[in-house]
Amino acid sequence: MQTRLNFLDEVMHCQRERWKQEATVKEIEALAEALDTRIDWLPKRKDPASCLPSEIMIEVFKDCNLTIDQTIALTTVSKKWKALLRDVPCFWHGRVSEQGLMRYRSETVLKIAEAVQEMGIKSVSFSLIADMRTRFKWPGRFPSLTRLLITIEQSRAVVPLLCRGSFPNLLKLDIYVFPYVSEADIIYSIPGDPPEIPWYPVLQLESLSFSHGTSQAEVAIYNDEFHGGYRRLHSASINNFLRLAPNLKNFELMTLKVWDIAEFPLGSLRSDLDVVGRDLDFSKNTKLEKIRLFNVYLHPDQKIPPSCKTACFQLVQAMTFPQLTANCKELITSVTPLAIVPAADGGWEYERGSCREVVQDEYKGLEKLTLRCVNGLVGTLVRCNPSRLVDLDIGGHNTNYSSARDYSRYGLTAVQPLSLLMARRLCPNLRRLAVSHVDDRDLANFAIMKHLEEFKATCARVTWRGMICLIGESALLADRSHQSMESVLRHKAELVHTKLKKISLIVLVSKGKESPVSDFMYLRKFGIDVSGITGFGERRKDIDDWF
Amino acid sequence: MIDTEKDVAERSVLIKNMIEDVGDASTEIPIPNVTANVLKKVLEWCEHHKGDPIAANEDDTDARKKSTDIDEWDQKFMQVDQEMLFEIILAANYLDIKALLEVGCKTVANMIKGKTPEEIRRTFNIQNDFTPEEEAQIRRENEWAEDR
Repeated sequence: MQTRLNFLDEVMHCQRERWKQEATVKEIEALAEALDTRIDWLPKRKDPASCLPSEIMIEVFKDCNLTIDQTIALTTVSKKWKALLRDVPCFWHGRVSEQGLMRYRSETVLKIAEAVQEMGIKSVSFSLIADMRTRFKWPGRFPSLTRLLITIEQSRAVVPLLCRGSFPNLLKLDIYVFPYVSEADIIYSIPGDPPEIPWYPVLQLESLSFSHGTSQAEVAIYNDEFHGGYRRLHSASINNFLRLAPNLKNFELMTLKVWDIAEFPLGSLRSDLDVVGRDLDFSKNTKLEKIRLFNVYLHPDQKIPPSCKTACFQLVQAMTFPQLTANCKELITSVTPLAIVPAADGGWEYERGSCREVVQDEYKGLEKLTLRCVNGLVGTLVRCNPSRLVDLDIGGHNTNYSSARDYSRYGLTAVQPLSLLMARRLCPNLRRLAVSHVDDRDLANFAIMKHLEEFKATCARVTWRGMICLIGESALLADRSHQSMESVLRHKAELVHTKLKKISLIVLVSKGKESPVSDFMYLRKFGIDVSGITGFGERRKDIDDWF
Repeated sequence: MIDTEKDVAERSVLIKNMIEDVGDASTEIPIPNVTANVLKKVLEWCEHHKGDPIAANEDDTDARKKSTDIDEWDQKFMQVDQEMLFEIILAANYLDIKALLEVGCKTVANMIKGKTPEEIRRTFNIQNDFTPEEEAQIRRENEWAEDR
């Protein structure tokens, strides 16, 4: 019995072994079949980049609707694919351009930069959105790039931008800073002595600009809800940049001016929210020619370097007007200069209550002066050299003001007639003059400015009679005040003894005193370009309130 | 020699121009750069699409290019091995059959889209010809952004 059981076990065991072998054979056969199929199929798999001409491959890539990331990924398939993609400008141009700011993560941006580097593109702009946890190791150098514009939303990537020497030939660097982020200060928080990062000066850099991506930043209006995350900008960080670029010629710091919406249109400034740019250190920037500072607090002793020829200030506080040197030829400012009084030694002194302080800055070199706040007009003009100052703009920087409210919103006030009279006497050699809120009588005052070539007036309450005064003798108007325009114009040979070549007017329409634009077209008969003349077409209540 | 209808053959701008030059549709037209089996495939496509309007201008072509959607019949038609697929594309290009060329390009594009470089290499049997040093360089390039 036992023997029989053993025999049956042995048979069963053999049977199991046979089944196992059969299963293994089947498996091997299946694998062999699959392998045959694969072997048969393998030669038929071809690299399209090898089989198809490049123009067809480009169409294929276009059909893929690739994002930049995907395009970059495809460049890693093979050298042929890399060459195909990188040689075709349409995959990069327009997508990486000055016109098209794009939002990419920083690593993508750098790859893009590297790709365009190979293509020899000299100007790149992009939006940089970096993870705050990300530490950047800039992989290479980009010697072809001469202009770079980046928009930074959350990043400390500016640090390696300059201090790693990645862009040795960069001429122009524009940095747009997105203002509403919770991590204030971090962008510009460059450690003074970074322990592990070597610093490289950017010797070629000629132009450095910090702004918020809009040229109208100074008039931005925001709701209170945004204010909590408003970014502050500290001068220590800016100064680190300035030190890195000793050959800088242009420097611009344009930050947002925050108006309290509740107090609008009075335009009360929320100074606690303003961006701070105190005590800028230009000591290393001996070639700096142009400085533009918008909505920036300055230290009272802030000095403008002697090399500066053009200074443009729209400053937050009026009492800290930066000190110019005699080399500065152009000044554009919205700051009301401090009141000055003649000093005993023939110079000028600031009058601060009972204290007097010698005026150290120089306006004698100024040839062009643009004042956006005219309260201190006369005090400014007396410090200028009358023979040098040939261009005076006290007419406001925006010719599209449609109301008195706009004027107050933009911090402008009308020039008083007396100030105009003084300006005319203090600057007899003016060639270009821009004013606002003038009337016919004011124009008569300008009639004796024999050198005047260009005249521009905004919100002007003038008629054809006033313009005749401007181009001729005021006495003529008095003599012929009762006459019609046609009658006066008959004597145009007597009228015109002016050098005026160009006049532009924005005529304010007042109650019952409308001056049709066509009334001024007669000026063309005297060879004067009057193409800029426009009028307010719509009468609004706030305009009426002006009168 | 392959016989076909004039309407079918004239989907090809090249053949259409040749017929116009010869002036006789019954004439034998040599197509030297396309093999017979590829030409048969192309004519099969032309037969199916003989009534389709031909893209009148570039704008139409651009609009079609924007989408990678392929007609169901065309999808089945393009279910061939890669060698044949590329031959069809080359033939469409040579014979100037824009619509077929577009379908071919879209088919290849669909084979590329959404794949990683390694998957693309496997799909098309592409050798990774970057040297170890170049690969290391690529790795370095991708390494520079890292979490602290």
